[in-house]
Amino acid sequence: MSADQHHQKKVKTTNEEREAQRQRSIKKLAEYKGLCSLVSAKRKAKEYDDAAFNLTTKLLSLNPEFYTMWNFRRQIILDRRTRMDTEAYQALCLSELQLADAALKINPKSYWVWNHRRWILENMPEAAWTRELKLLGRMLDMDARNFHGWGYRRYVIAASGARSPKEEFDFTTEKISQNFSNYSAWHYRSKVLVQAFADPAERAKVIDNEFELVRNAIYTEPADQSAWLYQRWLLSLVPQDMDRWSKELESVQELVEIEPESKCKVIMQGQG
Amino acid sequence: MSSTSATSPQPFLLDLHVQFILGLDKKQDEFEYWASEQLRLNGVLWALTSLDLMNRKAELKRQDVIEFVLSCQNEDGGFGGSVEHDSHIAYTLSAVQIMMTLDAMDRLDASRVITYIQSRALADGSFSGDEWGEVDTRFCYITINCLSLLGRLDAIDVPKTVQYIDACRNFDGGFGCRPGAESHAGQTALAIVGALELVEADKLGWWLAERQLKNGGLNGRPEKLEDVCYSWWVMSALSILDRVHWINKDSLIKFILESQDPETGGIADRPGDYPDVFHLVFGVAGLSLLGYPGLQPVDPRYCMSRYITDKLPKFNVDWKGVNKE
Repeated sequence: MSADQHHQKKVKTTNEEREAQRQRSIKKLAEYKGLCSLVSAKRKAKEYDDAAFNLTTKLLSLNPEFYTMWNFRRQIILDRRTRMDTEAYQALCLSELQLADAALKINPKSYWVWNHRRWILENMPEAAWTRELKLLGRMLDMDARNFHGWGYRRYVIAASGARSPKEEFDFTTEKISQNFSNYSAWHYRSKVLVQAFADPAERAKVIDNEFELVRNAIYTEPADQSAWLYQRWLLSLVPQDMDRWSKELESVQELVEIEPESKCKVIMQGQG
Repeated sequence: MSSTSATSPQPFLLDLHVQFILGLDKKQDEFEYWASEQLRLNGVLWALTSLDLMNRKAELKRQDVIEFVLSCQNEDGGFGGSVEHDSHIAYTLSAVQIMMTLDAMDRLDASRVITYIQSRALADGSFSGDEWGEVDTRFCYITINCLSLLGRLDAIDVPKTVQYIDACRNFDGGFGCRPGAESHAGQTALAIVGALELVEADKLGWWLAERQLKNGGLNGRPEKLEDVCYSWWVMSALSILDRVHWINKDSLIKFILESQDPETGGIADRPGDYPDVFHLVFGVAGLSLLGYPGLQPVDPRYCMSRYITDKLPKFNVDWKGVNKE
């Protein structure tokens, strides 16, 4: 059975190209199967030696989704830990993070690889949080909607306390200003806003600014759902503020006249 | 690929899809076949369910499939994705679903499966996927699905799990994979199976219906591209909420049919891409939910034929159309 494939455009190939591809595949398979049988023997014998470790490295470079190899690798790491000083063990963990960097470059959405990162951080003597935050910055620059990246960011922030809710709020401002369509950033903003601004007066002021930000986003890209969803959440924060509700309704009515096809129709029907 | 309404939609290519599935096992001399070995059990489930929904289950050799499934069970009671692969809760569910579909539950040592699933329970009501600690609402769904198939929901603390799922609910009505995470159609479909009473049906139905794009396809999150697999995740959730009519059925049917590969059979994530068995099963199951003729009615909770799940004792979820007496 083939694995599930996403976003791979089918290309026309000639018979010769297909045959050449098939030959390469057959050759690669011979190497892969050889490694599999070696590692299978090591696993059965519970041999956690360097040879076993190197076999997992090779297999994972050929197939990063081979989760049992990540598991076996962690068993070997746990075994080594008992025989290493802290410094050497810390270095081993750092090299594991580098291996995971490389694997994520090939597949930024691999559950197994993100999971390996988390496990390493939770099992290393001094968790390398600063390094993780840098990597996360790069991952979300490459794909601003990668939900693994956002989820992992929440995990790193919660576990490390490296950044305050206010700093994270500013991070979402940056992401949203790069692209109003980034619903992942709007979503995260809804979570950090309430943490960052606990004082009622301060929060009220921030919420005012938020309505302004939403208005800008909606007028820039009226067909985009992200800001509409966020506006709906903002309104839920001020259920009794009739002035605010009528102001937003007016603004929506204005937009309907200019952009009859925009999503605000739904909002009007929903709230009206 | 054209998506104008002027072109007549492609018919459903049932025979070609059967050939596509039967051909999957004939590529064993190629690297790509073995590089996906870790999810073989899921592949078997997707192939079997596709065939079953197309009334062609007998095309697979029942005895061979059963022996293969049993060979994937490990000492801890869980199942790996293939022989000699470590146990994971996802493959454990696939194994149970395959055995159920093949009416072979008498061959399954259910008590060992239950012990494995119980060992994955965490104090806050969530579940880890395996002994290495990944936590996700997907695993709550898997647990509830699997134990309900085994008639043993009493084996876990269901109210606590429901409480955990509730903590993953967002302002838009959807659910994320962990508390604080962005809503995702897949997680949402899974979450509501376990905890339907939590749902604000109109709000969630609205968010789900908004997943439909102009070309008829559905996406999994706002402002993302359409993908055939969400024809299942979004539609199954809407079906449980009794709000399938909130989307345009005809344009979604057309989108799924256009995503078929007319040369090889199989369905791709969207028109013009390479087909695979994952998108095939969710495309076919989506068509079944949409009432496309000639397919077995599918149960939106399990992605299995209704004639199979109708035999189950009723559990906490009840909605129109299914288990309605």
